[in-house]
Amino acid sequence: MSNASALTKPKWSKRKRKEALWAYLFIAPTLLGLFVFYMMPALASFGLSFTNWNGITPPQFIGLDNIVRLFQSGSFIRTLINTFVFTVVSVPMAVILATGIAVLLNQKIKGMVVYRTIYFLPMVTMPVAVGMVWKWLYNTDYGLLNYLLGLLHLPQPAWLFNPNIALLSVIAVYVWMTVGNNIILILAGLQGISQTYYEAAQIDGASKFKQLIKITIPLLTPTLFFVFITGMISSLQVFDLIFIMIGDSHVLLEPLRTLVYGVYESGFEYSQMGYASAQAFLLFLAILTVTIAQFAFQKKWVHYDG
Amino acid sequence: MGKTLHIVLLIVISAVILAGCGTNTGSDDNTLEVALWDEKISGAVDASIEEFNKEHPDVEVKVTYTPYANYFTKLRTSLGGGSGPDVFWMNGPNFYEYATFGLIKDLEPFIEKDSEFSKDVYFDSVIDLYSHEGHLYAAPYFSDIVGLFYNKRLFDEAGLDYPDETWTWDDIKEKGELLTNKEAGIYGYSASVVSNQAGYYNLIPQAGGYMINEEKTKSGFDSPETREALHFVKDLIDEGIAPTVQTQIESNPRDLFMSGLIAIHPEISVNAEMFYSELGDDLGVAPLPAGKEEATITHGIGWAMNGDTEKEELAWELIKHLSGEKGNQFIAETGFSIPAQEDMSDLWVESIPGLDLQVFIDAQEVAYPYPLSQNTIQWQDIEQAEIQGAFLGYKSIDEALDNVAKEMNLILDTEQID
Amino acid sequence: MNKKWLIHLMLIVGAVVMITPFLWMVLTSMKSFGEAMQVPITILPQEWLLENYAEVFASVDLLRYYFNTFVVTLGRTLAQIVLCSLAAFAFARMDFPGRNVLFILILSVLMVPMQIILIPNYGILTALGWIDTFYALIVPGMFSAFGVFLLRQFFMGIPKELDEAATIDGCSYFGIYWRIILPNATPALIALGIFTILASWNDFLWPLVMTNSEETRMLSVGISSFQGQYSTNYPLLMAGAVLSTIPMLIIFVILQKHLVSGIALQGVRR
Repeated sequence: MSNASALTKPKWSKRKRKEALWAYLFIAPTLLGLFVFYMMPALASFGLSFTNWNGITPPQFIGLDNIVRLFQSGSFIRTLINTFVFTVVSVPMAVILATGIAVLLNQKIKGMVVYRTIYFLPMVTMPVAVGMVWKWLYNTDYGLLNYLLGLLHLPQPAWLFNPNIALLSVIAVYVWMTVGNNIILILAGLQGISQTYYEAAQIDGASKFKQLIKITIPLLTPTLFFVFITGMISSLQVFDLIFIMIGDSHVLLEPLRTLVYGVYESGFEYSQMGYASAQAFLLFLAILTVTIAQFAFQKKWVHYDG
Repeated sequence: MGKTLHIVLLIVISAVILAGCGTNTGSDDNTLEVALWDEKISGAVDASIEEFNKEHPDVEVKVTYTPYANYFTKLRTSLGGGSGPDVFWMNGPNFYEYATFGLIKDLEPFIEKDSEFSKDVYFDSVIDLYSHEGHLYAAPYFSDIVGLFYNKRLFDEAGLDYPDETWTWDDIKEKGELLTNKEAGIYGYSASVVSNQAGYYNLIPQAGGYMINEEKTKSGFDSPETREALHFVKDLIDEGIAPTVQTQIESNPRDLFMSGLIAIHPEISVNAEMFYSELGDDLGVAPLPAGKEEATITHGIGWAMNGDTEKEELAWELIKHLSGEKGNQFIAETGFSIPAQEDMSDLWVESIPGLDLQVFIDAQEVAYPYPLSQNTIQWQDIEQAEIQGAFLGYKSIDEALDNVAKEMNLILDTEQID
Repeated sequence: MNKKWLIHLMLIVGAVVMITPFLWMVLTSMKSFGEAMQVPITILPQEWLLENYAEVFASVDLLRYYFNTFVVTLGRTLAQIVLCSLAAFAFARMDFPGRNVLFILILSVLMVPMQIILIPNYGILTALGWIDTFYALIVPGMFSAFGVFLLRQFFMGIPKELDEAATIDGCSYFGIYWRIILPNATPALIALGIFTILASWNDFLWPLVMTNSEETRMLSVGISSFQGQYSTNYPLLMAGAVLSTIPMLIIFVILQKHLVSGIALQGVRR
């Protein structure tokens, strides 16, 4: 975290105390709300991860059995790898694409409102419709994608059925879905960059591309950092999209099974809430570690222009 | 000034948070909450509630419909969170778990005290479905059973007679081949692997096999009969008479049939109305063709009572109205599915005059129970993944069936310990 | 001139990819049930049926759902903007013991899968007596770790000299927050607003589980009733989805202007 104590005013403890008091007051409502509706339930589920709770009747303590069982289960490593690959591929793609599009959408050209609205559409389209249309696009026999590939005499893959490419096919949809989020954030971030930098650069005769690399990107890093972290946190928890894409075809699940899919399956389909909680807790630890590492690493590339 | 503003804000927010604390938990004494998933049946449910309200005018019955895809998630959450509806729909795959965990009440004590309710008037298949150790835990509402739907137009074009009760597996193969028209993209038979209930669950007992033994201790998926049934399916797919499993997953056989691209399609009775509204008089229905034996899978829906409800007498009264004679009459009239009371079935048969629904009533004679144990959903997921995987070419059918049996037996073993 | 063409070209290619599913939704909403099930699928409806829209209005109480969704969204969004910005201000600008720990604690909320806290939360809401009330729909959605993090990140980018000047002028902490930070963070506040509106409008599992009655039904839940066990009435579902999307689009068109309106202001400030 950045160094906000750089306020090099004369420090005296009464002032400091007052500042801290006000800060706690500002944070208190949010913290209280998050505690009641998120942290308390999460703590409850942490406790339940040491039990055989079925989600309904009183739980029994079984120690670390759930964790042991998880590591013994054949599909766990596969699940870890899937989740990892999903995140490592999708997040950078979504961030890079969104940055490019946001820079384009930040221009002053005709019809910008229309463009912006269109790029916003994937975010408002109902998930069921998203699933339907992509299933159709990916349909091996009747799908639009394979039809176009056929016209070009290219191979027509079975997008969701070939275990080697199924994950990539779903990642593409995920990127498509999340890029709009990132665009909005990055657009907002671009507004924080002062025009004076560009004016100075123009006087120096720097090309548009050079301005992008030298000014826009560095000054956008606090936003990019945010987009990266939140993108990573949510892609490590991807579930809904996979559920929508495969429906009830369990045969398509294995190459796509992610950690949260396992949580859902154990908890709500097989009534093993204790086991599901243990999985969720492991996932939580993993995300927490990566996030803290990212915060430690951010000094290397994030410029807070304060 | 800014300070005051945000202190006011804080107070407002705290007030909002605290406001709910004082209110009483749970619904008041004069409401009954009812949950189910299929809104198509709302006419029948409302009519039964109206009857119930004639006797209990002071009781308010609140009905919530939740789409099937989320119904059990919601039910499970509310029961796990310590409340939930008083009376709700139950299906087979979830039944044993709810009954053994005590989440739904044993209805036997109510039945003993009540001369108005007799188990004898219902189809045995549905009573058996919702009985656990001889005790009934959900009152039968309706039954569904599988019949052979066919497209008359496609039969006429191929110059073939419509299917009848004399048909066997051989006819499926022979006639199916004649009905298949690869250029037009028309398949003779659906051989559904994506729906086990409408597909191979019927073929296995027809071949003389079983999915699970009666004691619910052993899987029947590795038996020679099961292998025979699935190899029959494979032959049909390999010969192009039935769509490949990839096509089935991408375009459900049910939709292909409704689009006139499949000539013969076994399906659950509940879908008769939907098929009829799409295909009209082109639609016909016949009994499932026999293999070594005649068999058709039956399942049904029952009304269960929340194990923790404080209003059990009222809940029982409501259940009686819903699954009683009048309630069954209402279902029959809506044409939704076969009412669980045998005597009411004639009324249902008349609900779609253009279709010989009697086929489904007669099928009750050869009904075979839907396979269930305590963890049905768990082994069914494995079953579907393995069997569909075999058809997609990931492994051989025999290997897949061995895997299913092995995994399923492991799950069944743990049920014995519990 | 040339450059503008290139930009348009790139944007149009992307736009085609982005708009397809939405167009699909609109086209499906005008098909008949049978046509929507048809294999192979048709792209344009054989017959453009507007009746589906009329049927949506006839079969569910859409106006009530609009109203409910609107109230819930408004409540959540206003509360989040106020509460998140206050907390974010403290994290971005103030110094106090435990700041980093508290911040990570708040962030950690984002790392717990929703599925796992659903049942305990149902218990909490039952204990509060909030099941099937607007409290259940609004209050838990008033707090957002995402929002705190988002605004903190943007607040940190606002030059510190501005606060220092204000401090010397005798501004209180709240004064700095109100007069310096908020006006300079409009795009970020708008972005958070868009996300909150979107999340609240499309929220499905939470309202589905926490409410039962017609009086508290949200659009997303109301529309889902077109999904059946064996078959979904896709045209009706899509017609409902289009109807529920339209207000969102209008809101977006209005808000997006402000999303990029900070430019002039920031230019002057430097």
